[in-house]
Amino acid sequence: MTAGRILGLLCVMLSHAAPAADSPSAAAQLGRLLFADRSLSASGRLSCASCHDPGNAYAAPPTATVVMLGGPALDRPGLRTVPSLRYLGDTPRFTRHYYVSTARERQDRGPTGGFMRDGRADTLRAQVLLPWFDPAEMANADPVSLAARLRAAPYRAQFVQAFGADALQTDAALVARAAEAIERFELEDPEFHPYSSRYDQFLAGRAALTAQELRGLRLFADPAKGNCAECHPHDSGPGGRGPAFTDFSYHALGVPRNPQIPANREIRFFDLGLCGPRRTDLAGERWYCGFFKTPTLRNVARRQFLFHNGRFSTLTDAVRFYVERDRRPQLWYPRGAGGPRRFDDLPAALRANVNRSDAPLNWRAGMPPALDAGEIDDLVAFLRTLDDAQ
Amino acid sequence: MNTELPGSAGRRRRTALAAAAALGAGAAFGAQTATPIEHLIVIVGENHSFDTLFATYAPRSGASVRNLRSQGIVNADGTPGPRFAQAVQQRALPTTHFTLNPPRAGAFVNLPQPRLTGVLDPLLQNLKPVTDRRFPQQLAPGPFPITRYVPYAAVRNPPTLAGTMAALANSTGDPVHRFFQMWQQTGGDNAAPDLYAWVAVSTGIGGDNDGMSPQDPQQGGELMGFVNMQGGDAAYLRSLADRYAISDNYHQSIMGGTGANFYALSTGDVAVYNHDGVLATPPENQIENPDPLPGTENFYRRDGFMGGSYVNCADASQPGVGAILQVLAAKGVASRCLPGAYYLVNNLAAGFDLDGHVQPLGPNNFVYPPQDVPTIAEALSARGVGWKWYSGGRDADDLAIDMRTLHLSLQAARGQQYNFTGDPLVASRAVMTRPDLRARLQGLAAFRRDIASGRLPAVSFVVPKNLDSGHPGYSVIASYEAFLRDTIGAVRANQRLWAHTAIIATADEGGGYFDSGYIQIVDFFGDGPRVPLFVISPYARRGHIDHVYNDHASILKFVEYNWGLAPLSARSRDNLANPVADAADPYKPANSPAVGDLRSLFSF
Repeated sequence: MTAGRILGLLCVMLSHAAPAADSPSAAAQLGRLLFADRSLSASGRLSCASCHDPGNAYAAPPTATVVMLGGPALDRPGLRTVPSLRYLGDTPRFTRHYYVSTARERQDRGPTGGFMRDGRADTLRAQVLLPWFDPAEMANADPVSLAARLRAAPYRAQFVQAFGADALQTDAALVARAAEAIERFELEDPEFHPYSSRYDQFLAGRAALTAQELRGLRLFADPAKGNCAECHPHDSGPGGRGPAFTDFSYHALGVPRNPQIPANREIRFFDLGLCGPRRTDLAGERWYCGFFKTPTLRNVARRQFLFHNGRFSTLTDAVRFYVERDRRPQLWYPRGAGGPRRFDDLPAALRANVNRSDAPLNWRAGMPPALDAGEIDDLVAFLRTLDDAQ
Repeated sequence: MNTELPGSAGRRRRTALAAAAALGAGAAFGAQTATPIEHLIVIVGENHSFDTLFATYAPRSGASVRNLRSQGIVNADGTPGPRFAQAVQQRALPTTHFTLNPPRAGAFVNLPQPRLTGVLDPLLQNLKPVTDRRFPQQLAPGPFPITRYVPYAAVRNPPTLAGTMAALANSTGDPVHRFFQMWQQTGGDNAAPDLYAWVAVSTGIGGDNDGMSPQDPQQGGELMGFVNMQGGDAAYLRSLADRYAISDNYHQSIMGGTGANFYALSTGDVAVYNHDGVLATPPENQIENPDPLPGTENFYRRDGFMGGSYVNCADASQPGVGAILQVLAAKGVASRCLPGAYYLVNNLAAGFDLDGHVQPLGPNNFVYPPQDVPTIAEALSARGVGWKWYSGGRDADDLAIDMRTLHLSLQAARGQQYNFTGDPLVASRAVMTRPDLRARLQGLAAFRRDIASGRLPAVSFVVPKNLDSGHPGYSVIASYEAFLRDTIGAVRANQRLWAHTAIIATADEGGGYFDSGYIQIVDFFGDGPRVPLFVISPYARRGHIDHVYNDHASILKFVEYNWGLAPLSARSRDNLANPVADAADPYKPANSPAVGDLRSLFSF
């Protein structure tokens, strides 16, 4: 398939109103099978769908714990919460500098793009390989063992149909084609970008929002109030794309440490996002430590664990954290000798990386809170309109 | 008593060795200059056409000038003049394909009311792109004086961050300024400048930008605005025009915006899509398509920062290309388009970041690949002539005030102030992969240190911070004026430097503002409308208004003449001959295509 055809498909898939013109490609149909195949894991009990539940917007299933267990015996905890796989089609390649130049601004928005919470995979097909070979996830030891599992699976004919007989010749080619098939599935299947939320209906003029939801929308967009749209844009994108509710940018928000993550029992351990430990190429770029990718807010009300470390479980708490992080740090951070230990999920030397410039994270003593309790409720009511239709 | 010296006629050639002895190690060595100018400082602000700034200027010297007032389009007070009809804006009828000469559908009754698109408030927040109610609904459908409704900002000297932020209360909307739009607005030669407003309001900056739609392209009549120099606006710039030399026939090189024009200033050429130096095809969504979307008057199908930016202009079947090639053929002008080459005609960011990392390409990454087009930078270095490109906000030194005042990280402050589309040498593989060349990309704090210490190189390019650039929306002309006043004052304070220096102050492009001047079609890419050009030097022809046809390649030609360099490549615009003025019209070269080398603005 040529780049042009992939792009053409992408345009069809992602344009807000247009229905998919083509039926799924053979590769995408194969990808659907691979996505749900537990036999591709060392444990034999984990598939992509185990953690990216098709019934829960391709995010963690309702029964999930803060981080999922994987590995050959399903006893190894992950490090971060499970992101949704929906609405990833417009993700830029990871870059330290993302430039915008529209009628309204002309800026370098800083690190942006890539897949995984630290952007270490450049493409979806590269991303697919990471859980397959992660010892705490599907835990294939190497391409040879994964290829053996692929050869044993009952969809050999589909492989040949999608990619030709050559696809089965070498282990490396087989694994690469399998990853490509899952990428095709994720890009082509409307289930990954349904744009079926009440908010989408509202934008299309087919549904109304309640008065409270409309108040929430205004607070969401108002730069002096929620200012959420700064990183979670709610407008249609270039070429009339549906709003992605993420700009794929990276920030350090100072989310408190979550003791429920087993790795955090080691007090000297810090998950620094762009700086590591999972990503390794930016380890020397200290100014990016603590940065994690902005997730889409679509289907956010369905997530049980919010932020990369799942520290918050309710939308109200998450929104309150933005509003009151610096106003009432004692609510969020553990007590230390000199008061609350702010930004305790980062080593002291890196806490200056935490965003203190974008409202409402720019709170200074004497300023009123950006949102009061009623406004927080309004904002949360709006966020609930972003759930896709079940 | 000022320190200006008359031209020292006997000293046409001086060794730069002498200059090096006088000015320290930073000066050129081993090179000779053909004129007494040993230091050239090229200051590039943003986005004003000649008529936006000089619409009503009446030269103190009595010299002739071609502006809105002299042509009778407006009166000295900015009101419509006896020949206002020459600039009245027309509507056009929808067409099925991009066309430069759509059938006209009658004049606008009133100019579409200006919009606040792109305007920052004094706290640097984006205003909504709604109607700008400071302007009346019933503006006549042609040029109008902005400052009758929104006063010219008062920016003190020396300028401060607080001052330039406060001046944003006087900023106005940012007109569209993109490649195909400008071709359509001017028809190429600006013979009938009557479609500026219609193109702006019918397609705007393109649908491939956040929030743009065919229903509302977010543009109004702001592009027809001008400041009223005769009414007292831009008094310092006027004094420069009176005391030194200006051109009223200097043009942006490329139709459209910042990126391509800065690129032309540094190369005399355009950037091209490539993979490791081999021509390649960009992602499909980044190829321009200015054919109108069905059901719209003139809303381009694919255009915008996150959409079309490249054009394969050797292929007449590509959208938008045939219409322009036809005009070129009619005038007997070569396109300068190579088969299979996709040229960058609109803004993308450079393929390297400031630290030299190659930036990723892809359909959602709005970056153009590293370039191998020869630049003036390597040419100067190869000749042993010193140069630097000083860009505001490049270094932490430049941004300390922004970080402190606005509580920003270095990165966020740079995002606000650094002109990333106006830094073309960062796109050059030769510059960015050679540490000795890359080290010559510096910030404005370094520029001021080099002036004070006498270490200024032979050739300096200077780009102000965004807020000082004069770009509508996030700056005002008064801020660029204050920047120039401060910079020129600093150069003049070093008398030994000033004695052999020429400062050229210009704008990268006209910002999409109306201009009434003739445009010479040089190739597929331009020229574009006139922009202001000042030559400030003890050797400037005082009070002179130069009519010789020039564009950004003229700066390259001056550098090449003065320091003995060859044209940058076989295809660069600095190969063009000097103009021989048409007997009937001094603004038109009889030997077109031709551009001058600026020498006519000096008296040596």
